[in-house]
Amino acid sequence: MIKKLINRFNRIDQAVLGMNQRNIGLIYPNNARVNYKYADDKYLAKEILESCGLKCPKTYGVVEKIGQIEEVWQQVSEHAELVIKPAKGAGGNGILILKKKDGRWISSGRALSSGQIFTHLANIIFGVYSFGDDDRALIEEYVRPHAFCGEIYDAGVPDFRVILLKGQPVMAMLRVPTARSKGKANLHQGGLGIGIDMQTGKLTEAYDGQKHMKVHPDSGNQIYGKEVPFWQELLRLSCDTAHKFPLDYLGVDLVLDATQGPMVMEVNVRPGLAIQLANKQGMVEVLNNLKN
Amino acid sequence: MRNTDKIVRTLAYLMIVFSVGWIGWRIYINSNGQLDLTPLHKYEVSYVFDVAAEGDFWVKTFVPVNSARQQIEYKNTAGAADGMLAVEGDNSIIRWEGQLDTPRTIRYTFEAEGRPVVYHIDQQMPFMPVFDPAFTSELAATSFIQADHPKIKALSAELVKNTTTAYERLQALYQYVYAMPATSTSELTDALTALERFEASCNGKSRLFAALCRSQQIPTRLVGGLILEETKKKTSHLWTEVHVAGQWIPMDALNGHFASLPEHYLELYRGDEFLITRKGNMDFDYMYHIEKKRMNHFPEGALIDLWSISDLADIPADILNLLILLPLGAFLVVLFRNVIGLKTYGVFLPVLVCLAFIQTGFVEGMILFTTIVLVVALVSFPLERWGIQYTSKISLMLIAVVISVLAGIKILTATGWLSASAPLFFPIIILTVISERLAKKIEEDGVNKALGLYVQTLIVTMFAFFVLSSAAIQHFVMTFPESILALIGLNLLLGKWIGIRVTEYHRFYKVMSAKS
Repeated sequence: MIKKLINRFNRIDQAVLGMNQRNIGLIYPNNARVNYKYADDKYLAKEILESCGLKCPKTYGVVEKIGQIEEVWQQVSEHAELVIKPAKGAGGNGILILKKKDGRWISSGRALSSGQIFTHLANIIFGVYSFGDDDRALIEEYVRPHAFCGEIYDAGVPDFRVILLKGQPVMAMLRVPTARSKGKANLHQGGLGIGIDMQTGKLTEAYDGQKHMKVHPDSGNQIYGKEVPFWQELLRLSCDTAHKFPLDYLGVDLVLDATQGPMVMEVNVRPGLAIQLANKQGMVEVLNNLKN
Repeated sequence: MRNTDKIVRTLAYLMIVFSVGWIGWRIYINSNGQLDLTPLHKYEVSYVFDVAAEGDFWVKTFVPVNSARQQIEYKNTAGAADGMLAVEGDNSIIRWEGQLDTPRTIRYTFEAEGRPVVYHIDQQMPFMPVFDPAFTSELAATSFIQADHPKIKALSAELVKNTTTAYERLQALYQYVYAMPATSTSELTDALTALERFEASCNGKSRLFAALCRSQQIPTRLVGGLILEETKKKTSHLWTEVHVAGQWIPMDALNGHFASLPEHYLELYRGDEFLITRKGNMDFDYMYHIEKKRMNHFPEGALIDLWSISDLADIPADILNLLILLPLGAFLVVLFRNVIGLKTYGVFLPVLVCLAFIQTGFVEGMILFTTIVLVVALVSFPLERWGIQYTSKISLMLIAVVISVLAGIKILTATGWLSASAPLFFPIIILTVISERLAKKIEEDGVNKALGLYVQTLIVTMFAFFVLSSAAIQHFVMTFPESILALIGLNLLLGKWIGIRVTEYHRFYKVMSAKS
């Protein structure tokens, strides 16, 4: 019993990337602090992505000051669906998906008045989602997920996370919403993390924070063994992105658009540790294998 | 990269070795290698007598003498210069006398340092009544200690009925008096009156206990003195000593000290005496001014002698103490975050909350803290629903916090849980800072997550509290500020430590079983 415990602990010590090692061993030596902003601020990230021709959702408008809210809203409200994001938000907080229905804006089934939307924009600018920093609100194209995503679960937008070290992909996962996560794909909001075989692009098992599973818990659709379409393109886009950003250890978040294919959503300088849980594999071990 | 790692590590070890070495050296040169960290206090006691009389006056009182449990150092004051010291029986007295034209204040000051004592009474030793004429006065029935009164004798006989050993007999008598309701009267109460009223203050209880003991032929004497505490007061104290197996053993049946005395009991005289006696027809007022001073037993070789700074510059030792505790507190939080893996509201905030708790007391602090967290959490619901602007929302939450803290203070002081003079300003400021963090967290991650973080912060705070509120640790860092150098080293080491956190073992435990 004790021996088993010690063995398991030893194994975790050797294989798993912990928070301390991630920070001290990977993030600090590979990324200069001054360049974090290109990951932390989606506005700056998009400037790089757009200027380098890396595919990403179109920006409809940016609100920088309270006084601009109405003006920018006028310009963007011609679109039938759009997404409002805090440029410096983290963990999917403050993201509002809006769809027009009978002339009214609907967000996750609830009708929002323009006053409520303005309050949300103002909150973003006041820094509610960015630890008190002043922020900008991005208003961008709504990504219509590829049919592949619907075959797993047909609500919300699943996204891919690829972690790269010095331009080389290390691990990847697909994050899929569940009924519990209310359309959000983030693991800590109740989404699923699905491991991906880097060589074949096939999905392995899904992890919901408690246990692993081979089918989606709400839809019952098969996950295990399913092949990701455009896998090589996804990998290539993430490599190109890593190449253009002045960050050597990063997570690239991508989506698969129904018509436009792989797109970069954002770049993360502190990619979480849960990707190891989704893949049932420790990142230290993967990195050691890559080195040999 | 490797190179800086090496430099950091070397620097860290140097800091730790240097710090430990310095502290060791200071202990060696100051006390020959004995590390006695009992947080001893020194008290500066002043008798302040205001006298006014037409013509002649005289005042007499007792002065303390050195003994195994108290060290006295007299100060040069005007009162000391013209007071006449004398020995009167067991006691030392001082007497002022002369002619007065104008009212005069006599000030007589000394420093007292006490040690706690605990006596051992052999529990097997059979009880032996004492008839030795050497103890005549300690066995006598007097007009205030009516050891021969039938009521006292009957009670005493009843109490010791089933006892055989000296210990049991003393316990039986002591417990009876201890259990008697206490009052705070300063009027003289004799043994019989105390018994008949079945309530008494220190002097009534001591005389009753003495009477009960003497009627069992246990030599017993009264001891008068002061309970030392940071205050100005008129109250003196009276306790007793019983003579068992060749030694005088203290008993305080009011405050519950059986065969022991704490360090802050200052003995002034023995016997059933009045602490102050004076000429009858004169105006007289008195007060004991007592100041508590902590002592530095290791004054030599200090990086900075905080104790003497506190004394010389008149900076309260409490403030310096809080300051010097901050680095240790912050280090504890770092340990909890990076080694254990708990999340807290910031690194500094738990330390500040902990220091706030040290000022308010733990229970009161917890009540304040929890109230604030609950209020903020509750207020956030309607404000969220009504779509109130963020900054206004924070401001409204702050108002709610202030209102509830005021209500809390009112309730706590009304119930007497909190003294009205409790230093609340600093704690409340800190707790309001917490409430803003909490409000923000609720906004960002929802109530559940925010409360989860609150619980983790609380665990860390509680742990830090038990470490930082320890008098021994406070005394240590105050005496040895060089310990901060070791903390620098430890922080540097932890800052380069890439090990798995305790919570991560838990997080990855199940998953890493699949493969080997």
